[in-house]
Amino acid sequence: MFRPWSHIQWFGMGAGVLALILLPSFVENDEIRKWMDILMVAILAVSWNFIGGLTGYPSFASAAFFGLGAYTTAILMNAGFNFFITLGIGACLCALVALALGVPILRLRGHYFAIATFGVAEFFRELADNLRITGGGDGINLPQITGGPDYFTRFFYFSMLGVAVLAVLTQYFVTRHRLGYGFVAIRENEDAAAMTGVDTTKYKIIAFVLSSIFPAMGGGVYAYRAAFLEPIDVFDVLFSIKAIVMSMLGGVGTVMGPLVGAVMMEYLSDYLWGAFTEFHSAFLGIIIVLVVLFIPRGLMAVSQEVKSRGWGSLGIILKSNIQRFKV
Amino acid sequence: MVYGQILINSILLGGIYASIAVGFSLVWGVMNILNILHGTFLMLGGYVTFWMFKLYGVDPFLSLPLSAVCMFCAGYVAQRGLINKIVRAPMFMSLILTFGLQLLVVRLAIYFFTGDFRSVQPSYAGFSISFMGLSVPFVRISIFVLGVLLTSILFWFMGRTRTGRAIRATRMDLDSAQLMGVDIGRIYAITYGIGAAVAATSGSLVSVGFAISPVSDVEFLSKSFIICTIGGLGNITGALAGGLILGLAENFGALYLGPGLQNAIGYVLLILVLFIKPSGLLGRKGFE
Repeated sequence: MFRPWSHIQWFGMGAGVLALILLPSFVENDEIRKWMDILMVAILAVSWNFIGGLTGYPSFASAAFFGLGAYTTAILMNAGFNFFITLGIGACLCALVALALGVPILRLRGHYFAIATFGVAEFFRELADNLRITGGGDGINLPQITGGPDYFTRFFYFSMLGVAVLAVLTQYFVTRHRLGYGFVAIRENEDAAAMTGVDTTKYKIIAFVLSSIFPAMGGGVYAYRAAFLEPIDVFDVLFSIKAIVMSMLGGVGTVMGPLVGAVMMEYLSDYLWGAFTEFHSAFLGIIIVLVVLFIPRGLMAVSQEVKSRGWGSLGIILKSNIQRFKV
Repeated sequence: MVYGQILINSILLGGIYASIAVGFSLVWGVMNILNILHGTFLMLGGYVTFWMFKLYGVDPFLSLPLSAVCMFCAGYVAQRGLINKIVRAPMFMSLILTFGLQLLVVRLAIYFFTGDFRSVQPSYAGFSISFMGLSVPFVRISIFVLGVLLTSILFWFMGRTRTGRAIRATRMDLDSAQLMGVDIGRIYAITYGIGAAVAATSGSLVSVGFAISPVSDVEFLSKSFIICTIGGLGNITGALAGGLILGLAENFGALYLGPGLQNAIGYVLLILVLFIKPSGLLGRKGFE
């Protein structure tokens, strides 16, 4: 199911990373910032894939971990910690939170799991709104990074890239390990997985913890870059939704899918309606509806079918997608 | 006396919470859809009442049927045209689909209605009834009574009418209902329309007593989540019980913990109930 990448695939991946590393040498700061945003949502999408795509538990907690990581970095940097150390601490903290929450929450199935994860994110937002240490609803300032715009744009870009590469590599090795097979077994049939000896509780918690670590680090980078945090900005449920939709657009449950989806969606949306910033969320809504109706199994699946059946059958493929689940 | 007043307030709030959540519970129970558009229907219903009052001077309680009919049609079309296409897909597809629609509708609502908070202020808004030292605003009582009435009408409809029985049959066993000649696509659309109509009516009620804005829908939605989870799915009494419990918990929590954490209490309650009894306090087995 998950075959190891061939030499060509590794080469392609390496070339992609190399291109991203070299990118800042060739383009303007604006373009670098755009790619930084793409990498950020790619991190969220890839991480969601651990719990939502591979294990089949549609979590909406990405925003909770993103926000927790952001606030950890903010609070610790104000206390004088080094930026990279705060990223590590944020990741550990979120892993612990995921572990503690995972035990009760992962017993739930279906909608109840979704609602519980919604509730977790909203609860943390309310908490950040009311605690003194987070600055409450007024928000919290971070130390400004020193250096010119060229320097700090690159600094944040490479930090984000580092987290993204870490997330993708982790996902690659997990899916080629017995862990990944356990996740997929749970997704396909949890009872059967338990019967065949998968410790489902343990595996689900591991998936949840894995899905919490990278958003926390991404959140930390986001916080340092924004230099100012408000609860409503970082505990935004849209982060969770974007992660899910991008995974779906690319293809749920694959390593490359979420990555492809994130790049396509962010880049296309910027390209197509960058001028209508006011209506960004409306366009996102339309995209979501179209993706759910026409390409629910992702672009990767569609492109494979197109490859085997030819471009002429694209209409038929899309039509069969929309008719699969209707009443 | 403070406790008596808070108790009265909690019960009045609980009644309106129940009517907010009951449509959500219906749609979830029958079609297994977590309907993110629910709060949006509430918000739009509130705006129907607001604009009727503002532009034509229609009394807010008279525009309830209009907002119900408008949103029934909107809900019917949304279900027939879009949601029915994927209703048998894994459950979170419909969740994401309704989320997409919610983003679109709310954005348009902000564009057309602006993001300002609005509230209907009829001439009798200031009246209040007092007895035994407790004071209760007249509008709040009317909202409470109408909210409970609405819930009762739904209860009657589901139990006593042909369409209501078809809806319940569909929930119990989709395939058997289809074999008995129930047009599933139509029943689903009607159910969704009813959910939207009930939501819109309670939205109209809310717009009289409270302020609404295009983004209030998220608040209504999260209240519905909490109430349905606490009370449990599969019966209307669950929504009533959940509404009352949430009303009590919020008001008394605000008294002891301060008003800032009022919303957080609901989420704590939600996670606690899910932890202890995932099917909800009054939920029946098999509906989780």
